[in-house]
Amino acid sequence: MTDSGATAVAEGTLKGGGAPPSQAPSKALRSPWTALIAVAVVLVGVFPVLSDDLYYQNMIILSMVFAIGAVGLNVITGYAGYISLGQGAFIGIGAYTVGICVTDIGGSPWVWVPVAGLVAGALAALLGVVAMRARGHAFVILTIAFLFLVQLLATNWDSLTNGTGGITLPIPTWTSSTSTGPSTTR
Amino acid sequence: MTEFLQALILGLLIGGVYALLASGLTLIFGVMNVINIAHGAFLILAAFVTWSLWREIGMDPLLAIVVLTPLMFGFGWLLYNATIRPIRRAPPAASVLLTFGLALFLEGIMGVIWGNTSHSVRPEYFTESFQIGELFLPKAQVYGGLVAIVVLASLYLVLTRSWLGRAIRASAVNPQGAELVGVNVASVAALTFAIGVASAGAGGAIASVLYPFLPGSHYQWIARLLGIIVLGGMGSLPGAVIGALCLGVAELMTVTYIGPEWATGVPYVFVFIVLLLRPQGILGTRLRQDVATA
Repeated sequence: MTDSGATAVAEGTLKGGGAPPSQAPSKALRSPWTALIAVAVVLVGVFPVLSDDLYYQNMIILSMVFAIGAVGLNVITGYAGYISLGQGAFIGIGAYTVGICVTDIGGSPWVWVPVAGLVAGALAALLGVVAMRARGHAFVILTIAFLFLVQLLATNWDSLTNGTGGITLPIPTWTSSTSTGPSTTR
Repeated sequence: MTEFLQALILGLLIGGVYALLASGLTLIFGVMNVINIAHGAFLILAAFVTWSLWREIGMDPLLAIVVLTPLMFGFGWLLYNATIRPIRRAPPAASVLLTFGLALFLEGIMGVIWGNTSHSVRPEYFTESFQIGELFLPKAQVYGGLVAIVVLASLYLVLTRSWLGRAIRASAVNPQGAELVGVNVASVAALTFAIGVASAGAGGAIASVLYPFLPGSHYQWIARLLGIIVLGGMGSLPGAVIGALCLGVAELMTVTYIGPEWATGVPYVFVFIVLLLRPQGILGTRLRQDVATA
């Protein structure tokens, strides 16, 4: 009696709460958003082949770079609930890591991308020593302070970062068969 | 010794200006639990209006305070009712993002109106200085510091001697208690925000003489002011004054003994050290509330 009642309740729960997830994939596939996203992905994917307009290529590449930063920020702010205004500092640290490694050590920028992630992660861990003690407003203030501190170091540490002049890398080239790729100099 | 004394006096004078600016920020935080990231942008806006007044009709920047304070008070009151009031019940995170957005918005507007170039207000006494013994004190710094202290003192009088001031302090200490004795905390919050923005207006007029500014300078200012209120203890007015004087002296010492390019780094170092060693700041108690609400 109780058993069957419990089963009924369980089944009810399954039907009420559990059913949508089992239907979710097909529903998601049928949603107009999925189609829209798929079209967008394909469009962005073939864009470099269709157009050689450097302005729009640059815009699309930068949008995707910012998307990476925003997804990362969503982990901190969206999932963990900590508002960080210092995300830009880590994008900058990554850029400087690649820039400095390529100019001082050499090699392709792509080789250094994982290193940039590691350096940014290591500095974030260092920031964490202080940030772990802060929450709420104090955490926000701390991340702003970190953002400006990194900016100040990048501006003033001339021997490492070339100060306000910054670092410019030559635009990487693709093989000739993909010469209309996003990074072609023209 | 002369060098040290000069840095100390100039640091205290500039600290007076910082104190005025930071007191508005800490007041808003104390009453509303809102970190007003746009405070630096209000200050730069006031500096630009001061610049226009000085350029167009030759008004003395320190006299411009008389115009700017009521102007920014009204602006702050309107802005509060239009943007912050609707999210009063939202979690504190929302207000941080909102005021950050306001700062970016104001930065863009100022860029359109005045252009993204460095401006500075240079009244006639700008290049002159008082000489006391071996000390050289630039007149702009001395006048600016003294005017800031006068404005700060009148703000203090408003807060301690008027009904509004008592209502503001009551709302900061205990909002529910203030409601119980007949204070309309919502409208007091609007007036507090307006007073905070007005003090940023007065401070911005003074700062326009002391530092060159452009629309993007508000980042540097908000970092400095946040450093001050973290050091002094968030929400504490005397703490903001102490923090501002400390920061002013520390910046001038850095300029004198390390190098002017590192002076802007002092507030960030302050924030890190204070949050590591004494998270509640010198006089703060309010941060204990963070533990409860976060």
